[in-house]
Amino acid sequence: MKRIIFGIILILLILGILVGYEWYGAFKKSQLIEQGIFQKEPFPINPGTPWYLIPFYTLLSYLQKAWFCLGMAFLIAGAVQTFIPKELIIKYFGKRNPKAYFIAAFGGPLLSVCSCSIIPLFAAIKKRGAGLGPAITFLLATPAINPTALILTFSLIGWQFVVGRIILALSAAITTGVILEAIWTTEEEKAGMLSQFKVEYQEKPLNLKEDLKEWLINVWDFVKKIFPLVLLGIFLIGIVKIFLTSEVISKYLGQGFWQIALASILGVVMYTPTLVEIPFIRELLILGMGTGPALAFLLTGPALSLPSMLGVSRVIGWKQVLNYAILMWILGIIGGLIFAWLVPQIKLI
Amino acid sequence: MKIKILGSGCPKCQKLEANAQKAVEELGLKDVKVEHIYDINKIIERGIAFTPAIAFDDEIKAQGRIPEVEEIKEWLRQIKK
Repeated sequence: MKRIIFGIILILLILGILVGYEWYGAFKKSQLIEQGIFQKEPFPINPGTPWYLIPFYTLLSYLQKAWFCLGMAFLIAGAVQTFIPKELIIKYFGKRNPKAYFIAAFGGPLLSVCSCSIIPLFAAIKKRGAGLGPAITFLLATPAINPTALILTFSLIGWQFVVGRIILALSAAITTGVILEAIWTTEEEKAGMLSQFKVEYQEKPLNLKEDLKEWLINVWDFVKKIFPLVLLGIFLIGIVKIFLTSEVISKYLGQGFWQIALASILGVVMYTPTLVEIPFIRELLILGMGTGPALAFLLTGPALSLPSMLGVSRVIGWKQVLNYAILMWILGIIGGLIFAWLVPQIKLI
Repeated sequence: MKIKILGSGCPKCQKLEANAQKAVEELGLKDVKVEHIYDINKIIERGIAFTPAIAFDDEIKAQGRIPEVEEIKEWLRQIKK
């Protein structure tokens, strides 16, 4: 128990430092602007910037803006991996009752499993644990609200989007799970469920030196795995930016019902690696994307990617996959509409 | 005896398979075979939730992590006793 508490304190501490840093920065900046002092951007992108420099400037200004938050996010991801025992969470996945949906929705993100472990875990929850509904909820909620993504959303876009993502993504995931369970699970299956996970949980004592070492190793693993992809993703965003004008963006992705519908489909079709979706949406918001379409993209994009749906269709039928994808798309549109109504505009710093 | 590696084929599973192979080779065990099971349905039939997992015949030794070569060797030594 000591070890888990230590981990939670560590996570909260890092989170506190990050929030303090961001808010202090924003406060200082707004003070300067009030005094009429505008800080010069070191890598300004304006109509006068030569086109071939745009990808590099995009990458550099992103790094300059996000290095602190990204570092903190990796530290937290490593701490979750090290100190929050997966076995403890998975034990509760075995029970077939309404609570299973909430455990799937909130527990999934805490597991911080790599993307290739999500599908086996999904299959295990479905067949040996809580059944199809909670398994679907787990599958959809886990990538959408993982801690690293939320931290980056807070730092690059704003807290409104963090709250919107958590509430709307979780309710969409739970709703989809409940509906799928009602449509596809027969009484026979319910009766024949073997609710057994072979998971043993041994409590580990707190061993400060060893644990901190393990934590740093896990952090480094995350950095190695994710950081190159993020860099590549941002560079590609920079290339895309050469061709996008704000007229095009505000026309097709500005505020409105069809714009939200289009954005939520874009999220599915475009395969954006983890964490890249956030700077991407930031750039689009700057170019005139509406808040509704932006949130709709963040709801459907991480939850529904073509590779993951293909993998899942080997465990459950493609009809069920199509079913949850369409449901999630509709819920993404509804979520976008709600968010556009609550947060019609956002100021990006 | 067979060492079974259970995992869908991601880099972590490959690393575990390599570790197990190395442990067997370093101990010079000729009668132990390392087998990799990729099929998700077969993996969860065993009650495994976290991949990669490693099992000796039907006994699951670890799941959701990559045991080091030394750890696998230790298990092998205990069984051979």
